[in-house]
Amino acid sequence: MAENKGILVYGELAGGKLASITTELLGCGRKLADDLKEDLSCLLVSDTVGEASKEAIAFGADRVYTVEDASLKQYQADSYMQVAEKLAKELSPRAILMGQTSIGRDLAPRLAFRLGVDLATDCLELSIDPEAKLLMRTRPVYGGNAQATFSSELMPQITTVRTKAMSPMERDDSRKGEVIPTKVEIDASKIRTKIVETIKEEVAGIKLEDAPVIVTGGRGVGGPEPFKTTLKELADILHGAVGATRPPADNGWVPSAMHIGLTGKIVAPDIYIAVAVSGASQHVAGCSGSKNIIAINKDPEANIFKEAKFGVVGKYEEVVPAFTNKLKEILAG
Amino acid sequence: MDFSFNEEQEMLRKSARQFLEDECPKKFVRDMEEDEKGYSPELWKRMAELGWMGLLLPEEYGGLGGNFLDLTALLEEMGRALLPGPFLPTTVYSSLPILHYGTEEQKREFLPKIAEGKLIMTLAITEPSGRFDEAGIETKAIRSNNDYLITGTKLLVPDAHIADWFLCAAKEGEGITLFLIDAKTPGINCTLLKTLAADKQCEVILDNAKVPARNILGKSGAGWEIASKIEQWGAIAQCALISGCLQQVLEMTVDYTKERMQFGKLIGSFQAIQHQCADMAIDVDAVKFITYEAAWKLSQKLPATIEVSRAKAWTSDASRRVCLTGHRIHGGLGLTEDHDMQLYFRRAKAMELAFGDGDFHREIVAKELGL
Amino acid sequence: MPINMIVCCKQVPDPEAPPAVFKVAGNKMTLPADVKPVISPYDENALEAALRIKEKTGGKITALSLGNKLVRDVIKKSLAVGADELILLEDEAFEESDSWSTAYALATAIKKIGQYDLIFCGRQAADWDAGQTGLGIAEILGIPAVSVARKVEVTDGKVRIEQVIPDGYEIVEVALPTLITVTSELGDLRYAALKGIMAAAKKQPTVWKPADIGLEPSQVGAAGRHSKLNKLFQPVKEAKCEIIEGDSPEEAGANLAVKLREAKLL
Repeated sequence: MAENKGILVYGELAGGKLASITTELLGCGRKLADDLKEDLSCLLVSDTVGEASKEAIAFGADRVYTVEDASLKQYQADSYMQVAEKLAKELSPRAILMGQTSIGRDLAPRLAFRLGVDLATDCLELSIDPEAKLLMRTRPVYGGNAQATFSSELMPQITTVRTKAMSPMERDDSRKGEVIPTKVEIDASKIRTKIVETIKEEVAGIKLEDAPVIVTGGRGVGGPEPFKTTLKELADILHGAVGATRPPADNGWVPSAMHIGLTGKIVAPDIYIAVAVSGASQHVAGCSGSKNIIAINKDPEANIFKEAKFGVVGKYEEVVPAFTNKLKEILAG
Repeated sequence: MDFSFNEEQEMLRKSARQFLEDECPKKFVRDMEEDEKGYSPELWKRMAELGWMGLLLPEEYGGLGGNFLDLTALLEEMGRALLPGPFLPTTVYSSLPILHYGTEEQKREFLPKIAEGKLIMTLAITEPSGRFDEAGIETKAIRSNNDYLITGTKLLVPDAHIADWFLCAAKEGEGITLFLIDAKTPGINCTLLKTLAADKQCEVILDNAKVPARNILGKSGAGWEIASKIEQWGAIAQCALISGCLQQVLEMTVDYTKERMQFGKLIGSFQAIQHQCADMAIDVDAVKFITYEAAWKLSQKLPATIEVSRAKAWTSDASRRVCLTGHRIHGGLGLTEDHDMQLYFRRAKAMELAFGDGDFHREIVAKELGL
Repeated sequence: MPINMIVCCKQVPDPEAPPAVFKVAGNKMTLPADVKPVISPYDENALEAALRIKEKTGGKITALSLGNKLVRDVIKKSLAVGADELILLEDEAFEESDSWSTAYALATAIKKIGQYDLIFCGRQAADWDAGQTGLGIAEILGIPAVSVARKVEVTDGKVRIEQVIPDGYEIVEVALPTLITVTSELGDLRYAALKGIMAAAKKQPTVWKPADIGLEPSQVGAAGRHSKLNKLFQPVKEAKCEIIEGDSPEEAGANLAVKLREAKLL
């Protein structure tokens, strides 16, 4: 078998453009490739890839492999695996980087087991061990109560990276790179699952991932109503979005699209206001990248105060409306 | 010697703890203090579905054939969670006496319904005298053909306002007889009392309440023997509740000493606090094992008079000490309504007195020692 | 049609334990003895998914667990809530498994069980949070898999799954046999009724050693790993929360707004 070389980023598209996680992966992949003095490639899979391949070059890729096929319009493990397996074998990269996204979570384990190699999921930090030239992959474990660094001598070293954990490079459209359209015959008989219907549970207003301010309610808000009233009013004043910890989503108080945490959305807004949130590690994992965490909780011992910059100890029903009113006043000038 | 609960009891305990943590949080406990009924029929139904009401009853009556030690594990969790409601009055104070002393007909009538959670019962023995002995019963039962007419006042009857049936002690001639009385019988009046623990205790006034003779439990005039047995079961059930309650007070207090700073240090680093916590832990441990021993004797149907009284005397006194120390360490915070300490303290006080306080049981122990 | 289901249940340290009790020593996570282990929460959701199908369609549930010195009153919860059988891959050799060696041993055991229509796993385990084992088992067995299911129904030999996606869910159909990883939105595991607990206490799990499933000790546990754990550590957090006070909760709330303005966050 040929020696494994280079870093391959498994790219994702969002609305015809490169997804932000992919720019982050390219940013981090570029550094790793430079450390290794090897190349950075990017694989883009869709029905039509379009301009995204040029974007990938502008964000750091040396080569972009595009696989286009009408059957690849929507992610399905059994079709995407055919592409991923073929390219992984043909390109034999040293490492494959994917996003810890809905696709990455599903595809990466299948690929690792298909190839008989190792996978580290949800990584926060990646570096190259200078001697062994192995990827040192650091990821949170025990619900965020610790971190662990893993390595493996099996190639390719597959890794998924948490969204917003890495920074993209400055976009440089003058960068040169090669786009390599690649044909993969999709064997339809190997697709064993059928998507009958896709149901969107769109949350009105600003998307959580893009919101500069997020107001999150925990189990302690007590029911679905405050998410639509008290918390929403506060978020509206700050042009922000409303989020939730896991229990409100599991209890059906809010759609699961609003769940922020280890197994929900990962967010990193400028201001994160945690209302009646206890601060379980699993939740903190989803918001610890926020620039300023503000906690409002009646329990002075709540773990969330350990994460917060500012806090108020008190019942949220009393604190939040007063906070919102004062903000209104201040913002009105 | 094996001091551990068996696998089944450990599973029962874990399952009960999880259920009660989810379904009986302190907010619920507080709400129930204000609630007229003092319990949640919905939660009662779910407990019945889990089989809790039938734990001690044989399978033929819809129960599970568990023993008193199984019950002890469950009660410790109820004590820890401060579960409000008529569990003990229905099960230990009523279903057990019916099971052990009832006629086949009575067992068939009452026990399956209790196991299914469809019947709430309570025990009406105590009277304004406050004594728990034969001489304390002044309520009278007068025979009239196939019925009895019962007149008197019962005090501190737990959950009487929601009970479907009472097990009631009355004086018949020189002896005491226990009657199963339908709560809807004309002539019965029930008033909710205001109590320290905000548990639901009632005054029940019976005015010529007519009860069919077939509703006598056990033998006419031999009711005190049953009442004494109920007292034993009740006392150990209270010990188990206290044990769970004190364990939580201990944990809460120790956690607090690991968080609370004074003079720039955690208060748990002060020797004076450490020793007080150690004393609490020693007390709680002793409560557990003295209770387990008595519960085991009861589960084996062995004579347990001295074990029960020893346990209740010790537990009642230890309860007072542990709660007091817990409060002392918590300082002013523990006295606030928002803090859970006061919930435990008030209930511990009620349990300390239920089925006899320390002195009451010391008397029995002394008597058993031949004094 | 009665359905043969296998649910993989992992015993893990209680993830709900307060963060302060998680302590790393010598590349291992240690928790105080009074923090009892539990079945990993997503595996409980997986068990619930299987129980709902058993209720509706009928079938047999085999719970499968891997580890060493598994605590009986923890792992037998699967039986107490309604699983019919419990198989433990239990041996010293299974210690320190990674995703690969775990999935490999579980898949090998599932082959030995032979009869299966549906395999359920939690979406990830609460200790290493890797989220690989379920999909890995499906790869090894060569069966289809659907991840992060919030609802699972079986009709006419087909499984209908609601799979959570970022902004909603997809309804996916797949033929049996298949593997499904389950997420918390599916719902909590039911409580064990006393009857179930008493019956479970009387049942003994089947225990398989590596040799019982035809594996060498070198293929399982630490020896069978694909990944090397270089370091386990706890990053130091500098906690410096400024608590905003006020004479009343309302005043504290208003003061917070003022503080944010002063800190130029608005």
